[in-house]
Amino acid sequence: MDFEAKEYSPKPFEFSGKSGEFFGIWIVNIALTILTLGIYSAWAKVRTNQYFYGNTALDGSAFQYLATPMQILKGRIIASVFFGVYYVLTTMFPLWGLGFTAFLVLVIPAIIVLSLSFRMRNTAYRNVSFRFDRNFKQAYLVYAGPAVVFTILFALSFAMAISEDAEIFNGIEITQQSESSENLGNSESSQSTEISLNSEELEPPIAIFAVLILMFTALPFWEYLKTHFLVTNTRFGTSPFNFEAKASNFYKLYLLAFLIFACVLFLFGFAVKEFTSFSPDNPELTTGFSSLIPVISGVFFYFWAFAYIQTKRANLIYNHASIQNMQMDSQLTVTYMFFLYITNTLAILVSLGLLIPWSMIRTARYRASTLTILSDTNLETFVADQQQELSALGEELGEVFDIEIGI
Amino acid sequence: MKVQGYLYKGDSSQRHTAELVYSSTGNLSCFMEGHLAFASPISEVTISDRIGNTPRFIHFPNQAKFESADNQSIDDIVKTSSMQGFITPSLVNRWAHSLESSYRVIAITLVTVILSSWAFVQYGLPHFSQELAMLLPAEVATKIGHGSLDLLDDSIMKDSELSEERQQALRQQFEQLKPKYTDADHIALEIVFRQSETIGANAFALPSGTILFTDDMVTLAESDQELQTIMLHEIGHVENRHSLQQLIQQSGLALFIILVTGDVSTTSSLILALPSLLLNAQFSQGMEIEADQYALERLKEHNLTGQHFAAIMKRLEASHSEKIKHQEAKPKSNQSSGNISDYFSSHPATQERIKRFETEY
Repeated sequence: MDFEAKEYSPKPFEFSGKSGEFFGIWIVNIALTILTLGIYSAWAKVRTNQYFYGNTALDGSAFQYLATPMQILKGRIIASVFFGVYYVLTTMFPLWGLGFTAFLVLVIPAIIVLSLSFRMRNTAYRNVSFRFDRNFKQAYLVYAGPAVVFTILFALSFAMAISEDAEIFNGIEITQQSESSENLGNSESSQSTEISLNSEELEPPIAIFAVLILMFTALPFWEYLKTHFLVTNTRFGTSPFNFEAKASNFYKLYLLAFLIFACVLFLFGFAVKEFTSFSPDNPELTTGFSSLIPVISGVFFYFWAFAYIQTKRANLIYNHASIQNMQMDSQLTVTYMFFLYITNTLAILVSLGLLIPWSMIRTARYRASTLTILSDTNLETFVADQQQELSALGEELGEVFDIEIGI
Repeated sequence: MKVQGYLYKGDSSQRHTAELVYSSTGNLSCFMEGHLAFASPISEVTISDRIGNTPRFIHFPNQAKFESADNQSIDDIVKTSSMQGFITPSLVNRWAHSLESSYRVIAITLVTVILSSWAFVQYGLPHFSQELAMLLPAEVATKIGHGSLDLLDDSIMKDSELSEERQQALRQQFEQLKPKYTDADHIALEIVFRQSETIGANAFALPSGTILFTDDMVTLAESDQELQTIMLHEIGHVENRHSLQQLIQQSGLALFIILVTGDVSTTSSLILALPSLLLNAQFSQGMEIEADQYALERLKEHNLTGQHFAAIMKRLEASHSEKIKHQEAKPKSNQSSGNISDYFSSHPATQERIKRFETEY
């Protein structure tokens, strides 16, 4: 209970959950969920979240998950009905399903905002809860804006490509006409125009390529915009988070990732080619276990790439986020995250799911152990915002339709 | 009864060391630095549920919150005050933690969950899917299967190289084998012929009631009677609505897994997809036997014997194991075909199925 001494030093996050203890909660959750035909799943979700929040402490105080099971249950029922309607529509009446999908795409930004708003409001620390501003206008600008712009650009480039084709055909027709109607003296020049037109016809539609390249170069910037939106709209009490990262940080991250992936894929392809090239002489070698080697190394590479992006992104976001001049510091390493993903997946597969609690606990422990708040003042100066009730529908919709919110 | 902890007043994140005292009159009093700060009847206070050994939060009507990891003392206060009748904790509040922390309960729950999941997936789900598949109108079954022939034609099937006369003759034999329907609600049966190098000799029953024979299958037969037994077997699949049953089974399994592991974010969809893939193969086995049973029951009315079926099945199995050997010698050949024929020939029960036709009829 003596926190006075620690107050002015860097404050690490601590996670004190235990696999054995959580296993009990997890297995009872499953049993009661089955027994109640799914109704208890709302209580299961709340107890699980309370366990993870309550075991995460910063400077001696724990986090608290505030949502009630009834809120979750209501949201879950409505979201399930939506999903049922969606499922039936897409399988039985594809056209109606298409309309429903289009509607869903249109409301994704709103779902993201509502979902985060619910999640933040129900996360509390020292009796002050987090907030996510319901800034729908900005959400639509950030999420839908670039999507709309690129859809239009693509449509335009396709239209251009088609009309270009048409022009070329017209051009050929004209030259052929002129060739047949005019005398021999001019044939040389008309031939040359025809050749130049033909070579133009063979070129791939440049406009589409240009839009594609533009899109790939714009992607890191879009990521930056989305992250900026998510971080700066989050508050702890009345204090907003600041985000000091520049777009260039995101360009560096994705460019480096792209170069590494390209190199590894090239080497990988080369190795596979080398490996299979001597198979006709030694057929037994490739038919047995050894033929699995490219597959296994491919899976490893997939996990590594996933760990790389996740780790670098998380570090980038946390290390550029601050609140009230307190800087956050995240020191995740790619190697350890890769190790965690691989061992978790293997353990869950081998144990038929029974090691899921263990993998959840060790992941949370590692995550907390690498996160620190750097501040030379104490954490006592945050002012609370007034409470407001909010429905869990947004979050449950996001969950049912598997909408990723990257933060 | 006393509890040590922190108090947060609710207006800011400022933390105070505090002590809660529960009196037998049902009041919770909060003391800071030895002085009484405020007090509330326990019935107006919200005490968070016990979850493992995580800290408890006691929420007062004046928005103040008290945080303490002294679970033992708080449990005692909750127990005493509910015995005195001041509060009535919810069912979950009363039972969940004692269930979650008892080794005996955990052990029993674990065994029960494993056994009941296994029983549900092994027996409950197939039974339920079968009932539901037979209940659905034939129109729905046909609609769901619509397009699977197009899919096959686009990927691995080519037009048949059998002569039109041969196809017509087999089609007529197939007409004779169709069951005499007494009701209007049935899936319309149809036979088609296709050529496929990757599949080799085989026959399929598609969900829409279309039965597909490959050219290799037709040429493998030494008599038309042999082909008729296979036709009966495939009609058995359609009549029992096996493809629909399988579809319902797979969706049901996916739903079950989502329900059980609902809030798990660490598992990837790969892990979730795996069991349904594994079980898929196992399900077909029981269905094969059911289709065999259908064929067996209708052999006599068409002057066929079990020997016809046994003979072509043996030849079929031989042709597939030969194909695998051939493929192993040439490792660069199409790999996906290897899986299909591999599954077929490695059916451990194929021998038993053949035996059944040889001995029973």
